[in-house]
Amino acid sequence: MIFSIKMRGARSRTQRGFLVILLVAAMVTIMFLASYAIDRSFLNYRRVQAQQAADAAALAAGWWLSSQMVNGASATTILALDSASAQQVAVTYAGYNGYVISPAATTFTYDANIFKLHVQVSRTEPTFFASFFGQSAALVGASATVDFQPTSPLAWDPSWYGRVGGPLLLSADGPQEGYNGGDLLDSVDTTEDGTVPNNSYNKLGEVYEFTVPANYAAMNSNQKNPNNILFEIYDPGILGINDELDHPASPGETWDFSLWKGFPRSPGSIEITHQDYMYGEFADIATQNMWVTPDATWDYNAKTDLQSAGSGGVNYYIEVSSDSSSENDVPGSGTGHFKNGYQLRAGPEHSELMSTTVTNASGGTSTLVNPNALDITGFPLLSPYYGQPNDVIWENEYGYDPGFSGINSSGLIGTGGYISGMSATTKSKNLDSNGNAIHNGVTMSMVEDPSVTCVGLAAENYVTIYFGYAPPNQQSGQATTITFRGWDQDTGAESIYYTCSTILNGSGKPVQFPGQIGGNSEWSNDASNTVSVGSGTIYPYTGGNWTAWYVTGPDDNTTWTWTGNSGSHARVWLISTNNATNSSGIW
Amino acid sequence: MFVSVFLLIMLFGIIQYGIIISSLNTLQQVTREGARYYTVHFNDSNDVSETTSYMQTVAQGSFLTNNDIINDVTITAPGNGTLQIASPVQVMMSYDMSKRTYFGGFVPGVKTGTNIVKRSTTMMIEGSN
Repeated sequence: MIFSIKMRGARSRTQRGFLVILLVAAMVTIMFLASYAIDRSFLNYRRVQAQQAADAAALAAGWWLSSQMVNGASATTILALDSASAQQVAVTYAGYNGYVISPAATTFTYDANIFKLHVQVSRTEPTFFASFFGQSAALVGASATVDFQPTSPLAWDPSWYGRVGGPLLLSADGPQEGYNGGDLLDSVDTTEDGTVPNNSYNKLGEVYEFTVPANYAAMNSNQKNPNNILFEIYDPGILGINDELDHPASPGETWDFSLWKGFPRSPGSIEITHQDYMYGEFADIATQNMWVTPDATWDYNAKTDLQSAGSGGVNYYIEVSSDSSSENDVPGSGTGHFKNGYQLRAGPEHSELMSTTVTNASGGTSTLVNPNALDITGFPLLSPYYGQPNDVIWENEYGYDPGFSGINSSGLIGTGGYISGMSATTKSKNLDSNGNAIHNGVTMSMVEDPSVTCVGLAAENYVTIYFGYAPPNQQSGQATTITFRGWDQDTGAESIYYTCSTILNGSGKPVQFPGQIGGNSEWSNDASNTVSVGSGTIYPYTGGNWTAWYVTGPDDNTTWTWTGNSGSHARVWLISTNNATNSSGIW
Repeated sequence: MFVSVFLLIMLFGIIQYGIIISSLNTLQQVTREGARYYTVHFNDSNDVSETTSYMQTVAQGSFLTNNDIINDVTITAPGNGTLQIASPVQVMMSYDMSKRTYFGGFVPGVKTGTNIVKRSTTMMIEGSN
């Protein structure tokens, strides 16, 4: 009996011990399941937030980048110039959504595609029940990839040529180097308050080196004067604020351009020519808001000397100095310490840009102008330059060097065998907002009226309207759409069609895209004609110069404008997302 | 008995937690969809009403009612900024989570009464294409 009682007591204690073990095991299991159910769902919720932050950051950066792709600037150039800013945009938008990321979290040319960028975000999140198993936190991240396209591959805005807000009028030196609106200040300092000296400042001017390739003449054999080289400088003192026009400079103001064979003022160097623009001279005034060739004599001498260089392959130097004319000017100082911004470009010479060309002004036949005849510059049909304003050709080929970025002295301007624009930031537009070609800063018509205008024509005039160059849509697979607007095509306007220099029919003649003529006294800025070329259309398109062939009525007062892919905003697509939750933070 | 009570509390706590997390996810997703819609429809004359209407569509089938969207969504520019292209827009939704609380009096730690939670998404305004 006693034995039996002892045995029950021993079994009861054993069972209680076993129960404790079961309870502990059950608690561990419950905690594990709870950690999975609660912590996992919490981290998944955070993952959703991370994904949204990544999406927002990637979309914003992509949109911002695409919005910089205007005026035909290549994606490569835009990335070179603006990738850091795009990264900052991504940082900002990730921050808006609660995530702190570094600029390096945004990568470009993702998946070997220059139009894609990729953003990663991550944040360490706490855990609750999982901490019992040694994991008190987890890195939760997500990523997003966007595909973007230019804002408008053919976007033209008049404010973007030599005016505040434009990307194409960058000052060459000084505290506002690269400033979009040109150089408002001098370059003696690197800060606007004048407290930090500019160590690279040279009061004698900035020196730019360029190389004339040995085969330069051969490369330009289709030019009328294949040995000649044209230099142009743009004076950005047209900002409307703090510039020469609003604040006339003192008599001490001087612009000086000089062309040297050999480094300026070095032993053995030859100054080929130079040109000073003094205050008050017509030449000085003429530099406002336009590209100028610094004096015909200077140009002539330069060409003469370069021709005498024979085989080419010679380095030349342009030195540019600008005295005063800026905000920090000391009137009358004449010290040469104050430099205005400027842009330079060089290339084969170009003839005068044709404006609208009115033929048969006295009226006559009812047939259209023959587009296949020699054009006004004498280029025959088979010439690649047939029908193209030389200035536009010149600008397209030589006004821009995508292979070089940054502005500084000794900036190499010869690349790819061509003498091209001196830097990526010196590209000038060849079209204004209405698509009119620009020559020396002046649109084909009057400055104050950037569109092509025909006024007071006699009966049945044949008007050839050279609109200029339109680059192709940069987004692969997208058509290039060009919209022409003809205003007030009145009093018997007869017909119009459009041609493009690069779109030829089977006979090698320009394809004629028929247009519609509006009614009499019909003023409208509605699109009157739209031409779509490129992807998805009949004609491939790699860019070309567009011309309208217009038969007017008597006393026609008409205005034409054009835009490309008008009205489109930047387009950016979220093309992939990826997120994950793991200890390594890989997603 | 003690173990049973503990397990029941755990069970209902997990259920309640799941409901709240799911609700937060829904709120977050709705604001995201609203923000994206607004960014690409900006400048439409009725972009705000279109956005809320779209958010209602997105929220269909969830616990959110059309009135929830109409009354509790705000579309603003962060930092008193201006709603314009290339600027941020924040789409925020406030929601009284007590409407989704079923075991508040039973599970310790779960708030009872009004419990306003806010979820938002901020994106860059792109403008309508």
